Amino acid sequence: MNDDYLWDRSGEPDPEVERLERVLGKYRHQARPLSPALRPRLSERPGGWIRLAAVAAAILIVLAGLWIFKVQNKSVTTPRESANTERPEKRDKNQAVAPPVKETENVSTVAIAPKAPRKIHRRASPETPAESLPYADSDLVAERQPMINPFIGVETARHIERAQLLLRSFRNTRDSGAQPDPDIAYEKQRSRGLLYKNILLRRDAEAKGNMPAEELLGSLEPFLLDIANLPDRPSNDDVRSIKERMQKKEIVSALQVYSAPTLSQVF
Amino acid sequence: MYKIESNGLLLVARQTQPAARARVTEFSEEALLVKAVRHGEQEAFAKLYGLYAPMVHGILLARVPWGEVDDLVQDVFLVVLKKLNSLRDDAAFGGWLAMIARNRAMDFHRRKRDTEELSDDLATQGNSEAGREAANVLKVICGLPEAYRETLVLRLVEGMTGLEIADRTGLTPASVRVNLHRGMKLLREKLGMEERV
Repeated sequence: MNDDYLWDRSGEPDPEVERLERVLGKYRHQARPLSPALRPRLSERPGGWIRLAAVAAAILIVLAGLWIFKVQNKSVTTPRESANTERPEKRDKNQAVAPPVKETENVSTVAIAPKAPRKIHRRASPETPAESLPYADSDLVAERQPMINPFIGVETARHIERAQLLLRSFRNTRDSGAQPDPDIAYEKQRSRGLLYKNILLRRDAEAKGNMPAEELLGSLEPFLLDIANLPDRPSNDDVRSIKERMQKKEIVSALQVYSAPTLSQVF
Repeated sequence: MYKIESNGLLLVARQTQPAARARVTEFSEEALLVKAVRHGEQEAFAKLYGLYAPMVHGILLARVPWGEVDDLVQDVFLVVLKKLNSLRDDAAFGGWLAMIARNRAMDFHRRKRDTEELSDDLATQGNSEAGREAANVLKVICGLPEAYRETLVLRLVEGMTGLEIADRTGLTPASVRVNLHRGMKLLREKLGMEERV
């Protein structure tokens, strides 16, 4: 018996094996095309699912990104819209008006009232009446329209506003020869208070490295000092000298620049 | 399909070891096809089906009635599609597939107990003398021990060589050779006894 033929059909054919192959050949597997039942399953293979899942994930990511972008834009615009539409409740007039400066004989008193925490509001829209805004009836521009100057804080702006009012008042004093000794007692008193506040604010700006504020307050300080040190009955020459220096340095204009709303005009 | 042929080492091995040639090549082809099927390529699955359907058919024919085999072959490849991701070694696809086919045949017999079926003869026997002889031989083969009958069916019915049987089923060629030799010996004895009876 030759096993080689049984193994791989090599060598001498085995008649018995040949006969069995011939007889059993009717049971042999008939090559047929792939069953239709298997084809749909192939499309469900992991590869196809992975591609489908990747596309779905990409779409979801894009949609989520758009949604986040929309929400962020909405949150950015909401404050302005609310400032334009919502009107803050009108405060009591006594609270809205800046507390008056103490007019006492004590020269060391700083002429700034205790500051209450205030919320910064942007400038009202044209249709919003100015009276409805907080501090609308304040005598200080900085309080009616707080500055959004990045270098000048609210307190500094308020101080600059008051200094500007003082210097304007001093500049408008009569210096005619008919009145040899102008009455500047109020300006002197006011200047002393502002001088102490100016020193504090200048040092604070210096400590914080706020060069623009430090420079402005530094240029203001000599004028406050000169006015505060004037005699009770100054001569016209003394007053005129200070006025000339004010005009030369254009200190009032500089103060006006910093006290006027700047960035708020943009909005 | 035979990309591994570009490997110089493999070419040397082919020249010096002709017996191992088919085995190495089939393993490479098998692994490539399985990977392609994992990525959902229908053409690769069709090739894999054409390559392994005779083996599955032979394994099932050695265990279930002939009339049921074709449907069960389809079932086996459906299971392959479902569970292909659980196959860790692509080169072991043949042995894995053979095991699925054997399990499917066992499932068939387990369910068969609950149903009343027609006789196997109705499905297997033909009207001719050759048909009756074929059914008789197949019945004798199916009465042999499992290892022998499976190998004999693959060789005598499906026409596979010993090496092809080893490659497809994952058995070693030596085991296949022994199974063929001993199975054929038993088959001769049984057919001779029946002839004498």
